[in-house]
Amino acid sequence: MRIPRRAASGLAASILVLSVGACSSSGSSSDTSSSSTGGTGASSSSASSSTINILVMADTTGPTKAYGSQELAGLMAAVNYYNNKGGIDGHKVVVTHISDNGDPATSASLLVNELSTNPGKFTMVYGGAEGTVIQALIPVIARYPVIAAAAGDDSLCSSVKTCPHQFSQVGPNALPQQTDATWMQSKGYKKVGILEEQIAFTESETPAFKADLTTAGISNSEATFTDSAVDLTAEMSQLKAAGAQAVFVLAVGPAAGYALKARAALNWNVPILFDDAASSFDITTLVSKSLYANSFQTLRPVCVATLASPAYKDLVANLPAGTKITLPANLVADGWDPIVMLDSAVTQAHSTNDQALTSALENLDAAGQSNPEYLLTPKLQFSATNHENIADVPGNFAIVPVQPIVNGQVAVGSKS
Amino acid sequence: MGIVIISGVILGAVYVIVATGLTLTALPTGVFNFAQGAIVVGGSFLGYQWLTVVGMPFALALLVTALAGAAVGVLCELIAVRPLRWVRGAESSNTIVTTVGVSTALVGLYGVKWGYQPQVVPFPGPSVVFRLFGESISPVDIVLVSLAVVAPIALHLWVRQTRRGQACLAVAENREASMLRGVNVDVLSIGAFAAAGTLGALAGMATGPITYAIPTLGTALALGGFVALALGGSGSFTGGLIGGMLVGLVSSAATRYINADYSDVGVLVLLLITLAVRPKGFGGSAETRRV
Repeated sequence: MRIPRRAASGLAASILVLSVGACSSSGSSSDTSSSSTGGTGASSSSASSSTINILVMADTTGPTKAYGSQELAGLMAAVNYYNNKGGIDGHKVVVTHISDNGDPATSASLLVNELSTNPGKFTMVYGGAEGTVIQALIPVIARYPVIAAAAGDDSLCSSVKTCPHQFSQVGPNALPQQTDATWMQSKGYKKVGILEEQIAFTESETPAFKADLTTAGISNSEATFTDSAVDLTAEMSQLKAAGAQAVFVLAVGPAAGYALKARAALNWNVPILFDDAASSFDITTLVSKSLYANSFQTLRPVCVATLASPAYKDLVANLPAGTKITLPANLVADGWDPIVMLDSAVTQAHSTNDQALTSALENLDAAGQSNPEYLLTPKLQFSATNHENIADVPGNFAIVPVQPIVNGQVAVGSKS
Repeated sequence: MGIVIISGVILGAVYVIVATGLTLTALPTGVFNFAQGAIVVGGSFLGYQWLTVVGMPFALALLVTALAGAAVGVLCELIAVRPLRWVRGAESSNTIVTTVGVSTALVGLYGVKWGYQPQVVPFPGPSVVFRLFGESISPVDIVLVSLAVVAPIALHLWVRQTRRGQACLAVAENREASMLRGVNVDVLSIGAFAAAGTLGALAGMATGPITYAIPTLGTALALGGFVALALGGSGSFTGGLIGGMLVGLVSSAATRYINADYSDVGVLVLLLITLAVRPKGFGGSAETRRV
């Protein structure tokens, strides 16, 4: 799941990255902690190392720590899972985690410092699921012999020429919206209201969704709101007046609650469908049960108990002690899947060299493409042009009624 | 139309409460405490903490939150305002920077303690929905709007009809002259920040069930409150009441009838027109100077 941040900060971060790179790295404090088993794993060549070292840039201290902590938990569960089985192709996996406070510039600076002071140590960098952070890391990673995984989207890497080692486990941004539009069509709606929070991520989703609606023969009416809004009654009233038969909400965090409250205030029992971003939070914690009736959310199957892959049990069983899954499971899966991807690549290449791993990932064999441990998507196949997962399809999303999230999953999983 | 007015009044009530806190500190000190929005958010978080996490009785939660708000207000005065009075060359406008700094620090502390996910603040009153002009309105909305109307009017009366209130006005008019007449400006300043902190924290318990407790909300609230104050007239509680309600209503109407993109624009156009016609705002009075 991608966590939106302002595009401007990403641009600023990218500029800073270039500056940092040009000036080499300067000393910066970081909360670096090694975990898992094994020693430091430092060596001059990752290919000859007996351990696989993974550098994780995940916010566990800043504004997005709720998400970063879940990603880290999922990643550590995967590391535990493989280490308990003897490692990946015989290599024990060691994780170095740095919290970047969710700040792109900080993240890039810390990454430069870590990679330049430990040449050849790391086999893979996990940059998290936050778009602007990943974008800030891409130019850094391109300069070092290391592969990188992220649950990013198609806007992150435009070409393998600029990000040759970057691999995205998920497909284009527009995928879940295709599922949403198809669902609207299946319900027979002819006019849909779009309630959009004005942040970079959701604004990038809306045009694709509108196009999908048009293809499905559905007209739309749009109401937008800023990320500082605390009441959406006027916006929902606008959609009601426009004759919307259903409302699609593209938002993050509390806005889902505001939308449901506004619907109740208007005494308007219109179905509400939340996009994948709004669904990355337990919406039921925001309002009473009566208010979230007749509302639906867009989730990865891993978040739905009856649809999730059996591998989810492996994740849960290998979570670090004291760790709980507090958000929809796609976030822990964001951390889990890169390690499974690495397992596929190393097993195929029998090497931890970055070139060999890049080649293996670009040409994953059948076993690597369909590793049963994948959680976000059942299949992984990277595009030759930008290394996004072209096997990620609209069917990899489910639309289910809004329900409480327990251990990362909703209990009732009928594809509504 | 009814729902636009109702949602505008509720939104405006939030801004009125922040504007009232800003006026409360500005009167005897000349300082706009930009941490007031963060204090309101702090009250929301404390409401969540006491009522949801600890399970404290509501009356006790109110008392503890009020005390905590007063303490934060006093700290704000001691850290961000008072030291600047001792610095040679420091101007009152420097307090904008220091109070924004306190606001940022408070937001960071909330994030560390409660995280950045929205927390639901329970409302202990009834959950029935009333009908007003054919539209729904909940008890928490009524409480919030009542507080937003009663607090500035009560403070307006206090300022106008009590000696302490008159002293505040005197300090606002001329600090040095007031000191020479025996007004203890330090006590007034501390008292004003404590009172504004108390009001803000208690208001946070009323706004929290509507807005949720979110650390980053403080900045938006402070900005909305400041615009309300500029509209209504700096130093006027009733002006803040009118200004806050206008901000809410214009924002709501612009969203409904034009587009949400224009809600902020609508408010700022209103502000520009008002300041062009009445530079002191609706509630401000023109100063006369005999030459």
